[in-house]
Amino acid sequence: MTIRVERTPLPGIGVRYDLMTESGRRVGLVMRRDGKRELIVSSRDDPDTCVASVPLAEDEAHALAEILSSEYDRSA
Amino acid sequence: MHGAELLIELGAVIFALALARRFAGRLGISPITLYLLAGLAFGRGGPLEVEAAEGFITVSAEIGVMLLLLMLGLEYSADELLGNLRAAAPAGAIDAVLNALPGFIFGLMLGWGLVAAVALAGITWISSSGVIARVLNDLGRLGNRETPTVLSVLVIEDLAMAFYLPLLVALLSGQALGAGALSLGIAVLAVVVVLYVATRRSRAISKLVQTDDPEALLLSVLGLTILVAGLAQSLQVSAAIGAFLVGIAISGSVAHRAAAVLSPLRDLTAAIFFLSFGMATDLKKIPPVLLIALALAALTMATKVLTGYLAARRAGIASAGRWRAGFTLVARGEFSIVIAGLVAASALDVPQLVPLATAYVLITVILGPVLARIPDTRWFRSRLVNAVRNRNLDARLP
Repeated sequence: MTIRVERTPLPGIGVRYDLMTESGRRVGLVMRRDGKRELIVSSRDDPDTCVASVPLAEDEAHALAEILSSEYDRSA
Repeated sequence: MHGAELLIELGAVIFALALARRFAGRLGISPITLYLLAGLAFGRGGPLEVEAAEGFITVSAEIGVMLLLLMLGLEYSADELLGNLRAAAPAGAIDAVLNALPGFIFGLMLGWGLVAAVALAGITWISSSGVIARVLNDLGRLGNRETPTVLSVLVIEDLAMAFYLPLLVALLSGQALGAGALSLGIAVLAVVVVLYVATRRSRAISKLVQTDDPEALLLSVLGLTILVAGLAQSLQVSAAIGAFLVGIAISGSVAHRAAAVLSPLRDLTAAIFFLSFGMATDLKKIPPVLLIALALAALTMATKVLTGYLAARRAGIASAGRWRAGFTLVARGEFSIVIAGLVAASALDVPQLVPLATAYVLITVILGPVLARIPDTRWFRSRLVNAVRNRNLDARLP
């Protein structure tokens, strides 16, 4: 099964990328015009809203992406 | 001696703006509010009347409007303006009917005549992109699903202004029907041509001001903007729209860098613009129009909530998100002041309109960010849950 990442323009602000997880939560990123990015996680009761939007610095985003994408050391 | 007086007044005014900005930040309200209030204090009939610096303030305020509109244009690419036009057009139409019409009818009912009614329609129609963008940011709603709907309403309004402002300018100039129609035709043609060229040939226009030197970039964009705005003005199209079109035409990385170098200058001149508008309002003329302003604000805040609710429903947003979209859109601000400023500068003799606009904007801009928080309160959410439960119960009854 392919994952469908939705790309939504936010005029004047930037772009939102998100995907619906199997558990029914929306997870994604708001990429701002000025280069800032925020990790967003939707609320359980109301998928339209977000319970968290965490500003990520570039190196933090890279580090997180690496953990998510690679086989990190699971034994530690 | 005049020189010293000018400097002292100007320094005091700018320092007062700084205090207003810091105070607004501490209170968490829009600085527009306090700039307008400061203007009332420094203006005619106010306790701290400014005289020597008035010339400088007037010119800075004019540049402030141009820079506000230029930056608005720089924020949007032409693709963004036109891209979601088809999808967002119904929401834009609902918005125009629900919010411009009450202002128009109020204007007619007050016996102010057609032109003032058209101006009041614009004042109640347009939400404040600046205030709302900040509210969305402060409340952490950028990732919400209703947010693109809110933003697309703002985009459509800004685009509609490109046609509305020239119409208002033509009406205000009181030209004969033929000449008025001609300048309106020129305006519409200019807007359409710029939008067309900006979507197809934005690189060529951006090249005109392209330079790596930030100082040269600042001077070229500023010079080009004021020049185009002046030309637009001389054609009886509004100067503000000239500046807006320059902003739309410049795109890509040049636009981002231009916005960065121009934003301090915009902050200064836009603050002076709001101040200057407050200064032009006679403080003593506000109490007589206060009740009208409250009634108009109550009505058009309700219609704005309805607008956002309906627009979000069209976009398939659930009940809570619809209310969030509605309450977020309430604040009016910069465009209402720009419109009232055009009226103030014209020969139109409706002395109550400017004080009404000032009071109206103050009310909505103060309440807007407060109301935007309502859908997040526990009280509102529990009421919403109960409403849904009751509806479900009703549906089950025979």
